[in-house]
Amino acid sequence: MTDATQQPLIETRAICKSFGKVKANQDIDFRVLPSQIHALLGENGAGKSTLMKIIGGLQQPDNGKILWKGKPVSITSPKVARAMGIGMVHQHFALFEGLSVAENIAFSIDGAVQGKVLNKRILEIADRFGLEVEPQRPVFELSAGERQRIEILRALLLNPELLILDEPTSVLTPQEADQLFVTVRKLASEGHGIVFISHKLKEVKALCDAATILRGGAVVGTCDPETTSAESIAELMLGSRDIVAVRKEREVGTARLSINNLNLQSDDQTLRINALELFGGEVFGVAGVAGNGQELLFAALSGETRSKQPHSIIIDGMPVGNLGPNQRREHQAMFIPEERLGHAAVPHMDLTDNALLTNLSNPAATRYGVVSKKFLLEETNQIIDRFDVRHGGINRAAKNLSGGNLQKFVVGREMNKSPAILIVNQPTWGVDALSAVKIREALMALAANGSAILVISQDLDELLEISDRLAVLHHGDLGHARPVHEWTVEALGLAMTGSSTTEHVA
Amino acid sequence: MTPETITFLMKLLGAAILLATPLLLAALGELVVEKSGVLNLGVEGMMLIGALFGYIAAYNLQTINCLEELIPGFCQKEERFFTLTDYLMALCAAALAGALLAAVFGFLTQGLRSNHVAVGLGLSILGAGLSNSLGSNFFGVNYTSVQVADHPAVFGQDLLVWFSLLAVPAIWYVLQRTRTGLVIRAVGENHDSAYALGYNVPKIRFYCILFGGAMAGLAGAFIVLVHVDWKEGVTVGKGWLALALILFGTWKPLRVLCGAYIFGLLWASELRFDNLFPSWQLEWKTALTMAPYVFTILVLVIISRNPRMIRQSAPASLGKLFNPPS
Repeated sequence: MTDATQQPLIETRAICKSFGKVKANQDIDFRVLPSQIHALLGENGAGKSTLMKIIGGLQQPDNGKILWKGKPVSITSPKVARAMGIGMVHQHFALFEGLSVAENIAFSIDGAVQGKVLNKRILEIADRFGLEVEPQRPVFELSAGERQRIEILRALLLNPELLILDEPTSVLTPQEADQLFVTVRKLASEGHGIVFISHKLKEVKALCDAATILRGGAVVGTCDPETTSAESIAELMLGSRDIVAVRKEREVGTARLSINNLNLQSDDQTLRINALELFGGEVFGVAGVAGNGQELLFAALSGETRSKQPHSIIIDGMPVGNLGPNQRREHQAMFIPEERLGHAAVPHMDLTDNALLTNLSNPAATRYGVVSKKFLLEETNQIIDRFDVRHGGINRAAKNLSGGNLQKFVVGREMNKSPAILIVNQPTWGVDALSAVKIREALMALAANGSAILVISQDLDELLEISDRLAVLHHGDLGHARPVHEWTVEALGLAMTGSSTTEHVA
Repeated sequence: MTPETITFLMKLLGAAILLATPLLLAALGELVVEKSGVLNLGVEGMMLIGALFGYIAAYNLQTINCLEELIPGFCQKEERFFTLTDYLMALCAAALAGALLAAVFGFLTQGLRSNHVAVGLGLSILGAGLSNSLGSNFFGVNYTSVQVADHPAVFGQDLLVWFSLLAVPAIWYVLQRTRTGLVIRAVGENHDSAYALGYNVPKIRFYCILFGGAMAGLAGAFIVLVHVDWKEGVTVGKGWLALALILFGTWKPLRVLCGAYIFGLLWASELRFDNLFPSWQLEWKTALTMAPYVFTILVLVIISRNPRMIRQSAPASLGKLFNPPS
C-alpha cells in the first residue's frame, strides 16, 4: 500500500540530462515505493524514455542523484542496474528470432544456467505469475504478446525489485493486455515496485496506484490516478495551450475524397473508418499517439495497402480502393510519406531522378518510354526555387541533403503538381523551425486553391495551426471529426489516450 | 547376396568414404562459419592451399630408405616410409595453411568490413592461383611430379575419416548445448542485439572463420594424402559442393553428414556404372552421371519449400555486414 512514510525503492533527485540544446530531463524528482504500480505519463518526447534509460543504466545523468533504498548510487551500466535489482522490459523487443524461448532467456542471464534446470526455472516463474510460455518454441513463431512475456520472464528470472515496463500494451491485443495486468498486479502484491509507462489514461486509471506526469522534460505533477479525473490528468500532460481558431480564408468546396467502410489489417496495426469525406479547400488533421494506425492509414490512402472493395475509397467520384499508388496519382492524388529516405526518396539517386519517381504517370516526363531530361531538370529547378531547397548540386545523391531540405524537396515535388488531393504523414517531422513554417504555409496555400489535404501528424500544435477539421486516430479507429474550434485540449487528450467517447466533448 | 556383390558393395562404400570425407570436413567447418553469420565463399581456395601445404609437409617429412644402390647417389629401389606422427604434423601444416588464408578473409571482412561475397570469391581465386604457382618449383620441387608415401590407417580407415565422423556430434553438441555455441548462433542470428548485450561480434566471427579455414585445410590434405596425388586444382570443385551441402543440410551437422555420404555414394557408383549395368546403353549411363546433380537440385527445391525449417536453422544475419553503432 502506498504509505508516505515508507522508504522509497528508488528515488531520483533533480535529475538533469540534455542532448545538445535539447533538455530531455530537467530537475526530475521521481520516487517509487515497494509494491507500488507507478505510472509515468507524458506525450512523445516528454522525457519518459530518457529518465528510464538513466535508471536502467543506459545513460548517465548530467546532474542529480539517484537513491536506491535510501542510499545514493551511480548506475553506470545496464549490468549494474540488473545486479542492483532493476529489470527493464523494452518497448521494442531485442530477441533472437531463430533461437528458442529458453535460449533467448539463457542468453541474457549472466550466470550460465542452462538446459533442464533453466527450463524448470522458467516454467516455475511462468506458472507463478500466470505467464504462459513454451520454452522450446522458436521465437519467430510467437505473437507480440508472447514475445513480451519472454521479455518479462527474462527480467523476472533475475529477481528484480523494480520492474520498468516501457509502453507494454502498445503492441498487445486487449485480451493480452488484460492478462498482463493480472501479472503486474501479482508482481506488485509480492513487493515488487513497478514503473508503468503509458499514454493510455484508461489503463493507468485501472491499474496504477500513483502517477508522475512529465511534460517538456520536467515533472508537471503527481497524482493518484484512481481519484484524479482523466480530464485533469490529460490537461497536465498536454499543458494549457490555447486553441486559437485561426479564421482561415478558404472556401470549402465539394467532396473530393470519400472513405466508406474501410477495414484493413496489417501485421501490427488495424484500421477502421466508417465514413469520412474530405472537401476541396480544407485541411483535415489526423492526430494521435504514434503506433495507433498512422502508417496503415497512410498506406491505405496512398494505395500501398489496397482494399478489396473499390468503393471503400473514392477520389473525385472514381472508386480507387483496389488501385495502386501510380493509378491513384493519375487521378491527381499525391502522397508524401513520413520516412524521407527510403520511402519518399531513394537515398542514392540524385534529385532529378527522385523527381521522376512520382512523375512516372505524367505524360510530359516520358515519351515512348524515354525519360525527358529537359522536363525533369525544369521540374527539379522549379521545386528547388519554390521551396528554397538548399542542396550541393542537383546531381548529388538525395541522402546528402539535410533532413529539412530533403523534406522541402519531397513536399515540393508533390505540391508542384497542384494535386487535387494530398495526403501527408508527418510533414514537418525532424525539420528545422523555418522549413517547418514554409511547409505549413505551402500546405495552407494549396488548400486555398481548392485541393483537399489530409495531414497525419503527432505534433498537436501543428495540427491546431493548419487544420480546419480534426479527428483523432486511436487503436486504428478514426474518431469523430469536428472543426478545430470545437475541440478542447481536454477532449483531445482524452481521445488520444483512448479514455473518451464523444459525449466528453464540450 | 553373393560374395561378389558384397565385395562390390564394400568397394563402393570405400570409394564413397574417400569422396565424402573431404566434403564433410569442409562443410562442417563452413557450417560453423555460417552459423556465426559469415558467408565465406573461399572454401575451395582454402582447401587447395591446405592440400598443397599438407602435401609439401608430408613430402618433406617422409623417410626414404634406399634398398638397392648400384651406382652411388642413384637409387634403384627405394622404400618410402611415413609414420602416424609425421601424418599428424602434415595435417597440422594443412590446417594452419587453411586457417592462415581464412585469417586474410577474416581481416578483410571483420576488420575492414568488406563485402563477404566479394572477398570470398577473391579468396577462392587466390587460393587456386597461389597453390598452382607455389606447387610448381617455387620451393625447388615440382610437387605435381612427386609422390608421398602411404601412412598407416587407424582401425582400417584413415584417421581423418574417424575425425570427420566424430566432428559431427561434437559440433552439434557445441552449437546446441554450450554457451559458446549459443553465443555463436546469437551473433549469426542478430548481430546488433548480440553486440548490445556486450558480445564482441567481429572477434567471435574471426575465431569461427579460423576454424572454418582449418577444417577446409584438413579437407584438402585428405584429398592429396589419402586419395590422389597433388596436382593443380586437385579439389575439383569440392569446396563449392561443400557450400551447397550446407544448404542441403539446412545448417544441421547430421544432415550435412547424410548429404556428404549420399554425394559420395552417387559419385562412387557413377564411376562403376559399367560394372553395375553392363547391358545398359551408353546413353543411359551417360545420363546417369547427372544423378548427383539432379539429386542436389531436387533436394534443394524441396528444402526451400519449407520456410519454417529454413527460418529455424538459417542464421538471419548470414553475409550481412556488421557496423557497430557508434
